[in-house]
Amino acid sequence: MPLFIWLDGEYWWQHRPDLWNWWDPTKPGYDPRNKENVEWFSWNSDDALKISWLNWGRQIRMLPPPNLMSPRYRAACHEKMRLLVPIILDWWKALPADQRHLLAGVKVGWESSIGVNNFYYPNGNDLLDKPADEDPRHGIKATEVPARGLVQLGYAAVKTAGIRTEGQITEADLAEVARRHMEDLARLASELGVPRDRLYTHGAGWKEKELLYGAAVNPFSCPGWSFYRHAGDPSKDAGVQEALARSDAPHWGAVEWLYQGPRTVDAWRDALEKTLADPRCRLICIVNWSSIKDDAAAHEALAALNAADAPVEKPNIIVILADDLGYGDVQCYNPQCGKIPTPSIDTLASQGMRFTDGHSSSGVCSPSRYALLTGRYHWRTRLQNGIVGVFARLQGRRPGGRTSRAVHRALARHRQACQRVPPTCSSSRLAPDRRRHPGDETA
Amino acid sequence: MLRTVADILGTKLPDNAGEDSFSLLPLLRGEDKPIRANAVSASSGGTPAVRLGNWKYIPAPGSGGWGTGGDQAQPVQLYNLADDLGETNNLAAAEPGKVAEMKTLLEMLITAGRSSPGAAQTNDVKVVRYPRAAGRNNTAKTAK
Repeated sequence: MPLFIWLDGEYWWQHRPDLWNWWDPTKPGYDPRNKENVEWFSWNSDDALKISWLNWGRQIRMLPPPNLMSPRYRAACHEKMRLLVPIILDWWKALPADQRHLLAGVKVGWESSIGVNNFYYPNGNDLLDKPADEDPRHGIKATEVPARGLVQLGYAAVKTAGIRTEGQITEADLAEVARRHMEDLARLASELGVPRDRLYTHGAGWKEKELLYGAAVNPFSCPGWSFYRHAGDPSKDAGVQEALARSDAPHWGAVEWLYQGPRTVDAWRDALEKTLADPRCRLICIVNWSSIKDDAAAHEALAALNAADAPVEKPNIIVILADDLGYGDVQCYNPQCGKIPTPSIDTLASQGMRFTDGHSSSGVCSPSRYALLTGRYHWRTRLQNGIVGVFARLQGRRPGGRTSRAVHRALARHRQACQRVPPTCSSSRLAPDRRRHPGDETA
Repeated sequence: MLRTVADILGTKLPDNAGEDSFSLLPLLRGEDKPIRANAVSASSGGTPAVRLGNWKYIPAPGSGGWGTGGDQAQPVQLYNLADDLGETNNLAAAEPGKVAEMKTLLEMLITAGRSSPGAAQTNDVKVVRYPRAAGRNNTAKTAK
C-alpha cells in the first residue's frame, strides 16, 4: 500500500517545553524568553498565550500555539525535517523501479493557520489553573475571518514576520504567515531532495474563498487541502479553485478528506470520482478512518474504485522486425556458421528467451508484417500473393492501397483495444496511400 | 503478437480482432506447453503450407515462389519434419490419409475465418484454393 507521510510542523510541539514554557518555573523548559515562540493576543509579548483550545468533535485544551515565524520555532521544524526526510528518501530510493509508487507523497503543514486549530477564549490564561470542565463551550465561528468570533491571535507571527507591528490584523496578514510557514517547510524538503511531484502542503479554509486557501501554494510543492464540506465535489470549493488557478504545480492533493454525505455506495463512489475528476488531483488521503471502518457502503465504493483504477501495467513493448534476415544470420541461433557478429541481439537472447519454432504468415515482406501487427493471416485479405502494391501496379491493376487501408482500419481497431501498436518502419509498404511514395518500388 | 500484448495489458480482444493470434505469455512466464496446434505459412506466390505437429502439408508442387526447391513430381507435398527438416522426402503418395486430414484442416482454417478460439469470422475476399487447376503453376503471375 502506498504511503503518504505527514511531516507537520505543529504537533511535535508538546515535546518541546523548552520552546513554549515561558510562565511556570516549576515545569520543564522554563524560560521567560519563550514568549517569543508562542502566539500573543495583542502586539505586546506580555500577552503571550499559556493555553488554547481546539474542537475536533469535542473541545480539547491545547498548549499555546507556536509563533509560526519565531526563528527558534523554525529552527526546531528544520531540525526535525533534516532528521526525518533523509530516512524517507533513503527508503524510497532503495525501492526497485516498479515499486517507486509506494511513496505517494510527503506532506508538510497541517491545516496551517492561526486561530482555528488553536483558538483562545477571553481571559483564557486565567482558566489554566481551573478545571477544564468549567471552560467556556461556545467555541469559534470558523467562517468569521480574521478573528473567527473569538480573541484575535496572530500578533506574534505577523510582528515577527515584519508584516505589521500595530493596528488591526487582517485576513491577508494571517494567510501570508501560514503561506510562509508552509513554503519554508516545502523549500527545505525540496532542498533535502523530495521532488515536487511527491511533496504536498496542507492548507485549509472554512469560509468560502477565504484567503487562507492560497497559503497552500508555493514553488516547491504541490498544494493540498482538507476537504469535508466539499469532499463530495471539490470543483465546488471556490477557494481551492482560485488557489489552483494560481498554482503551477503538476498536481494537487485531497490530503485530508472525508465524505460525510449519504452513506450509500453510489454517493460515496460519486464523491470519490468527483474528487479525482481533475486529472491533476493525485491523491485522496481519507482521515478519520475509524468513523467509516464499519461503513459497508464506503468500503464497497472504495473497492470498486480500486478495481476500476487498478494500476494497468503498461510496459514498453518493442518489436524489431528485420527485413531479409535469415534466422541463421543471428549468432545466437547459429554460433557455428553465422558470419555476422550480432552482439546486441545475442545479449538480448542470453537475458531472455529464444524461439526456435517460429513461423511467418508469409515469405515476403508486407504480408508478413501486417499479419504480425493484426494477428490475422494476410491471405484473409485481398493480398492473396506477392506484396502490397508493386506487382499489382506492374501488372496495370489498381495499386495495393485498398489492402493497406484495410490494414490501417484493422490497426486502428486494435489500437483501441491494446493502446500499444508498434510503429512500422520505412519500407513496410503499409503506408496509407502508396501514391504519395512514387519510386518506392523495392521489396 | 497482438494477443500476447493484449494479454500483458489485461485487455480482451473482440471476436473480430486477432483472428489468428495466440498469446505467448505463458511461454514468456516460463511454462513449457505448446501454444498453437497448427500454423499456416504462405509462399511469396501465395501457396499455403500448413503445419500440424511435425507434419507439413503444401497443396502444390515446388517452392511456391522464386526458388526451384520442393518436389515437382507430385501435385501436393507432405513432409514429416521430425526426421526430414530439409523437406527432401515427399510422403504425399505414401500417406493419403494424412494428406486428406491436412487438406481438411487447411480448408477449415480458411472457412472458419479464424484459427484462434472464438466466433467464426468472414474473410475479406474469397480465398484462393490450392492446388490450382491442372497445368497452372502457383506463381505470382497466374494466381488471382
